[in-house]
Amino acid sequence: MSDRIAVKQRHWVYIMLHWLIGGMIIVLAVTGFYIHKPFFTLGSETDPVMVMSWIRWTHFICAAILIESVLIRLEMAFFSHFDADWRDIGPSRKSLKALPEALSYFLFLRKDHRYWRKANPVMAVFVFPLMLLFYAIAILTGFALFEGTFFWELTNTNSLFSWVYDVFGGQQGVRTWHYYLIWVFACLALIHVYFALLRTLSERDRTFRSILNGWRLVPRKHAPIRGASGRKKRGK
Amino acid sequence: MHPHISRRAFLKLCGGTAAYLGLSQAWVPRIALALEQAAKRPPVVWLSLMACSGCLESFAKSVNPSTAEILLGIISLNYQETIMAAAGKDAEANLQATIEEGGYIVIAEGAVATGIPEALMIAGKTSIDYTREATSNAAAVVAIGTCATYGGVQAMKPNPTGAKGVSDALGIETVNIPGCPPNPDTIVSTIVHYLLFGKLPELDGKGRPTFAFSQKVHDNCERRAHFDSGQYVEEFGSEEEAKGYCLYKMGCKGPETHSPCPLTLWNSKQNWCVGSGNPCIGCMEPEFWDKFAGFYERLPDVPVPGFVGVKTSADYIGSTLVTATVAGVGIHAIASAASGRMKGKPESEEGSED
Ligand code: SF4
Ligand code: SF4
Repeated sequence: MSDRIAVKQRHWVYIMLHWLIGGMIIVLAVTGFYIHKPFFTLGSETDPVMVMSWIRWTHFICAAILIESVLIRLEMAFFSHFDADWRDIGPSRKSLKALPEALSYFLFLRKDHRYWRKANPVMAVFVFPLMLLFYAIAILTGFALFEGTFFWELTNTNSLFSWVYDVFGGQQGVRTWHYYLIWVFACLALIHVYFALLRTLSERDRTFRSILNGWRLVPRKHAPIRGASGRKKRGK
Repeated sequence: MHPHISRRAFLKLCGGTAAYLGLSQAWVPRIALALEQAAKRPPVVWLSLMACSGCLESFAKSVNPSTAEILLGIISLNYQETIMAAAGKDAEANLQATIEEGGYIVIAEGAVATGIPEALMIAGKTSIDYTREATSNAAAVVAIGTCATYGGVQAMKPNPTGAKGVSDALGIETVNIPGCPPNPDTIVSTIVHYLLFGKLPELDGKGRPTFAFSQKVHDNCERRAHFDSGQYVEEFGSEEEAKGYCLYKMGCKGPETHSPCPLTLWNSKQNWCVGSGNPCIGCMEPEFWDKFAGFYERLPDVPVPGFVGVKTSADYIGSTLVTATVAGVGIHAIASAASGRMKGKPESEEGSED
């Protein structure tokens, strides 16, 4: 008998949210880069396509979807009835306790590590909180730029986001920080994907597939007691 | 009314001012009346601090009929270093008399030296003392030009003279009309507003009159359609530039700059920076000299977060960050492969799918 069994670890809502967030970040990064440096143009000189307008429109719509998705995912991480998983993917007593072991594992100081239910503790303690921090910066600077573009009242003291300009160093500062986010998210995404790849290869536990269909190989003693739905929770 | 200005030219100015202040043309006669009947022309003291006199130059020369003439008719310019008739002790006596009488308007041009007070001495006083004294009894202080409002080019880091705007240096409220140089229409309209309503126009969080500074260059730019259609100038002197394509890729700071330039224009309303094919350098924004330079790139010369005094382009910082991450991940991947980790554990085939 094998020591591992396949368990449906991810609810389809989480899978959908994962790809929504990931997809939106990619679209936002590409459209954002275009807004920074318009690298192509469409249509002829006399009959041009309003590329910049459409790209900006896409950027705003996707930003709205991203904000919604992140908020829903956050809410579910804490309050979901079937999988409130903030302890697995965020800094918690659980992930902090597992962190030293995980660090020494990734630094090749030890050969093995205990079972991680979802993200590894390095992701949970450092990378995901960093992502949240940068979401916050993205959203604040983004809204400030949006407000400045579409609601001219920005120069007034009573405007909602004018303080963001003071915090980030004026017009140019806000733009620079908003632009850095492309690169910051590229780095964070790279780390995220690398960790998943590493786990897939070294554990052979179908981690890559699990973000598509939800099923992952789990050591028998960590599997939910009954069934594979992941719905019945074991004690941590 | 000043004898050298024709009635027609005068009414034209009143009409333009009404439009600029957002008043209907029905106001024109009332503006004309207010200007003509101003029982006592408000005395104006013009302070020339650390500046290049470009503001005065812009103010005196650019509109037709000339603003200098209008102002000689509307106001009583009691003190202005460059153009006053009196000199030396007489001039200072004029200033003292005006201050004692009170109720005058101060127009300040240039920055105040707070770091090295002796950097600017006027009539034997430091610029701080001089400015404090001259504004002490004023009805309103109008700071014109980017120097008097935010410190200006001499406030560029490391700012050895400690150049500051009048409001910052003295801790007083001023009407700020930034610009390098400021637009004469905005200055005249602010003063007319004061004469007409007896109070200063509505100001924004940075002390700027909202009638002029609530919109950005980009909002009213004549090249904006090309911005939206993705048609950009790639090179100075190119055909696209002449065709009026957008200067965004040449570093235009129009999207960042609150200013009425595309509406008021310059040089007797002939043209303006972007119209002539030069990107806006954002000369009406605070700290444009530090934050917007080099002027011909999008996000140039930004401070590197965490490294004081080091500057490079945002692109360079970003790509360095990603390169470092790729390198880190790559090295770890190679180490993982070398340690045999990537070969993995045998995959279990048993599944429980109830
Ligand atoms: S030239 Fe400058 S202000 Fe005009 S549309 Fe282009 S970016 Fe905006
Ligand atoms: S267009 Fe820009 S650079 Fe030119 S005067 Fe106006 S704010 Fe200054």
